[in-house]
Amino acid sequence: MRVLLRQHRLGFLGIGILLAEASVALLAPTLAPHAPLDQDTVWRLKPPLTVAGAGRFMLGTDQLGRDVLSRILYGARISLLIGIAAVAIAAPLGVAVGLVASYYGRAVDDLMMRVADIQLAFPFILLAVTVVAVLGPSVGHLIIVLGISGWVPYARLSRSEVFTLKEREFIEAARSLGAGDVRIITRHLLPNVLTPVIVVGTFALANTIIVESSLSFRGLGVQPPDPTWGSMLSDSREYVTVAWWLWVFPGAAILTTVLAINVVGDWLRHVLDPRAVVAAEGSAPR
Amino acid sequence: MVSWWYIGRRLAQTAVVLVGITLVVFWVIRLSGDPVLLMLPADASQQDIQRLRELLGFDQPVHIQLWRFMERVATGDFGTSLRFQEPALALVLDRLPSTVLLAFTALSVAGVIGLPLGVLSAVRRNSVWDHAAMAVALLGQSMPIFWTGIMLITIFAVALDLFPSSGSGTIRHLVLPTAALGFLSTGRVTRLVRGRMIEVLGEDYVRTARAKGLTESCVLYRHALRNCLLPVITILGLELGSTLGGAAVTETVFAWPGVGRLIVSAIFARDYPLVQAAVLVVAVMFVVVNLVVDLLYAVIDPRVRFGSSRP
Amino acid sequence: MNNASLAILRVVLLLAALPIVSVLWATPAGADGNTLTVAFSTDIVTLDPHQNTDLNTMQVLEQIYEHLVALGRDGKFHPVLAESWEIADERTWKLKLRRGVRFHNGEDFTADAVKFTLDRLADTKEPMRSGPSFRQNIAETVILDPHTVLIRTKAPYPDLPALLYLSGAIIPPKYFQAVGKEQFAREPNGTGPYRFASWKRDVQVTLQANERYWGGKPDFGAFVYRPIPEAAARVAALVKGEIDLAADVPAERVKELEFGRNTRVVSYPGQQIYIGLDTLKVEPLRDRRVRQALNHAVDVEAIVRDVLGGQAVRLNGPMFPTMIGYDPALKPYAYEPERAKQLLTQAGYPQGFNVTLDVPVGYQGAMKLKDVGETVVSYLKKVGVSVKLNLIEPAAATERYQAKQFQMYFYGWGADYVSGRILEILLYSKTRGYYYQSPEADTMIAAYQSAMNSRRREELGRTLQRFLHEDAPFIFLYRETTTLGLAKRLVWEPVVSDQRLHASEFRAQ
Repeated sequence: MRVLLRQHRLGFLGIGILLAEASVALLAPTLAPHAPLDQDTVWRLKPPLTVAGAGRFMLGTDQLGRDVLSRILYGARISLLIGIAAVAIAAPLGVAVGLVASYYGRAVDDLMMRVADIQLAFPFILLAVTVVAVLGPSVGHLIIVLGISGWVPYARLSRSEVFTLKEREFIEAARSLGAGDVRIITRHLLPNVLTPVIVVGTFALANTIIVESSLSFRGLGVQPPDPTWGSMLSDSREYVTVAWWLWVFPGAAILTTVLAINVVGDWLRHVLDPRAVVAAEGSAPR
Repeated sequence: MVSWWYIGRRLAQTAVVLVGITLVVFWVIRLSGDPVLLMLPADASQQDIQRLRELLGFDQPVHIQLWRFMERVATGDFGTSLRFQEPALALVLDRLPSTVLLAFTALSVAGVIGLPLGVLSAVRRNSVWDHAAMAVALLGQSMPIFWTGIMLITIFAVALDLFPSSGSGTIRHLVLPTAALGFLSTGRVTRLVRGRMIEVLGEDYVRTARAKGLTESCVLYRHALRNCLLPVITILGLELGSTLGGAAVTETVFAWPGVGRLIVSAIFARDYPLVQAAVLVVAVMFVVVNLVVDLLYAVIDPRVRFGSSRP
Repeated sequence: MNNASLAILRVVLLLAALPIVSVLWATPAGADGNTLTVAFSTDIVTLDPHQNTDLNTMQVLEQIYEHLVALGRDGKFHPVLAESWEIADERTWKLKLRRGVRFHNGEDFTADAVKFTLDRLADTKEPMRSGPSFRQNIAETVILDPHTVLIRTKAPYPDLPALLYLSGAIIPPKYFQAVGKEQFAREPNGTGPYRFASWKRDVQVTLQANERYWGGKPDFGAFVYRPIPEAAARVAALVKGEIDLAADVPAERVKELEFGRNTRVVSYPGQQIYIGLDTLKVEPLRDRRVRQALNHAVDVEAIVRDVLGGQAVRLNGPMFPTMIGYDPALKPYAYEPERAKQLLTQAGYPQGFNVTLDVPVGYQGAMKLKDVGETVVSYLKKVGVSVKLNLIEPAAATERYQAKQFQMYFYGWGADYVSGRILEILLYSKTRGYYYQSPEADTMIAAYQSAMNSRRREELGRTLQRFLHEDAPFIFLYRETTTLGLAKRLVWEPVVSDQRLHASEFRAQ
């Protein structure tokens, strides 16, 4: 047991951090000392540990007098929610496409992979702008945009699973025994794909948090006054030299989360499936 | 030798992809909003608006617009930018060299630093070097790039006064934007190479080679590294593809005159012809890079040639 | 080393060599003591002054082309290419033109140029983008002799000098006809203090001093315009001395630049910001009392002081100080949330109501709208009005505005020399009528628009201002103070009511 713990200590550390964050996110209403949307411009831009009329501002206040700590706690909810939801859309979509493409092979596969190419070459920002313009800005629509743009890595991954010779032999055998396509796909191929997909999914989660921040940079992110770490970081651009607490804390939150996620992802890969992942880490806007 | 059949098929599919993306962008950008209102001042009357719409052909139903567009594209005419009133394609090609410069430089940095670093980390796994390298690699991927850019400007351009704060024109102007982009890419490449090397080093044939008594460096270079190539090529190709696609955020922060920035501002201005031309040019580059990577794959890995595509 | 490694090495070297080779494509930037370098947030759009509606582009065009008149430091219009003018009758203006002026290519400036310019702007067959007001108001231009013209308007139009300054850049007829409109938009040719040299898109526009300028050769030998989109990068460039002037400086950096070693700041009035209200479709907003209540509920002074750091001036109504008829004595709505609640109750909304507020982001020059929006939301919440905030980009904003989809929306209006235009565009039901229709306002606006006698116009303006203040079609907010960062070596003070820079006014210490 001790050996086990030592070998996997990084992984456990990562998981520990993520669990802590998840619970913080869930318990935000209880933990936060102030309401995150409460603003009073009289207290704007106060540094950490200021004690003012409304109470103590542990991490300072932002440009509208809102408590940074509370916003980070609540921000955990939205940031993590968006990340998880986006992956929850992209992964099944991608896996479905990948499995179908590689199973039926040839023409179907070519078609699907060309569609993937089109998706990759399509400018993400155009999709974001259009969705927001047509459907309106909201967390839900943001999740849709992020989900729809992210399916390709999962498709490629699932596809490469099916292409290993081992799998092909099995498919032949199963078919000759009379198993139907759907049965083969869902009962055999799918489970084998799950482990690398989970690994890829964890990395994608980290990436989504970063992408959301870049969307806020363009004014397309989560609407104010709701806080997300990404939008807090983006908003702090003007105050870089004037109020360091506005970017240090959200930045640290993002950094810790992404690091933890990546550590866990690496660990998962190591434990579950060393073969996983060439293509998968997703692209953040550059 | 890779079959002509294979190449031919890939080229045909490439053409399909390009047509596909043109159609998709054509449709999506028309969904995103009306450019005519943006082009006129606030005191324009309804007639002014209607007249401009007719002049630009936007009063026609979408399929007719599409037909006209395809007709013109067949002759190489991508229309005139609504905002700049200059031929759209020329505007895009004018920006291309700057984007290519930035993309290739960042890629070089990523390759030149990432490859050796990844190998080193794999070989000295779990050492201080390894952990340090991984930490730095992860750092690059943990910050949104506008953030990295602003930090670089604040520290290296303003506080330390080592480089220009923005713009283009000399090699010194190139350093900070490349650093921002490169930070991200290098991290990716390093982690990938490390991962792959670790796998490869654990494979049977490597153990065999060691058992045969070959020196470590021989083992490394002759056997292990070669097998690293495939995924590394893929990832470098993908990195190049996405950066060529427009490192829009980097270009905006550093005022770099590239295609990415052009695309973003064209999208916000609903400049249809310019968006269409720019996306197509970028798609061509992306597809070409993909094609080259695929062909390299086919050359390097015989298994691939007989399957339908690379794994 | 074996083949694979050699191959890798070759690839790596090739990759490393590419950028060095590609550098040959680069253009050298040039900044020297005799160049005035300015940076704005966007690149210019066109070099044809009649097809331009973008303010940043105007900053460059303003150095190349001139108008018949210009705004002076006293807020009145001064002669430029027109030496003098008089009102011949209600619909006719007679202008005497300056002699001895040439365009950059040597062509003489005469009445032909004025007629050609105005005809082009008023043309309906090939409408110019900046032309609508010309098309609507100018009837014809008549040449009396090479240095005298008559301009006839369709109806009495007291704002003609303002319109001429706003978008009536004088262009050379012979040159235009010789090179054609496409080339004209690439190689501009005006009478101004600077000549066009080159434009590398997204990099910079370079102008050279016009040695033979009729007003005397400008101090700076060259004028360079650089687009730098990110505010932090613009400020950094100013601090480092790479540029002499940075536009749109964020309020937070102002102090830093004020006390900087080589920098200072100047401020001048910028855009007026209001929150427009849909008084036609949104039930509660139909009632004047509700609109007044909203005005009483928002503490604009606090917003100006805290959110904007004092970088704004409160407005008391829809008119701004440079408009004819502006009444500085008119008191703005006092911050009285109790009174607001009373009014709401009287109007039948004791519990308040729900409404959405659209905020455009990425607006040229209008910073902080997001913050102001969030603050307004919190004030209105306190009186029971629950507001949902919508961030939209300018393209979407324009569309939704025209489609009458707004309930409450932020609106920004640049310092407009044409006094009547804003009223006409926003509040006059015959031209817009999207969100506000009032027969009384209509009558007053029509009268104000056609009063040729300036004293009468002032009176009409005051009455109009008072009426609109009471009727509250907007939540009146403030006029932004635009801040420019300047290098300390620049000697220059802004013209208070003008957002255009004139490079010929700048001197180096």
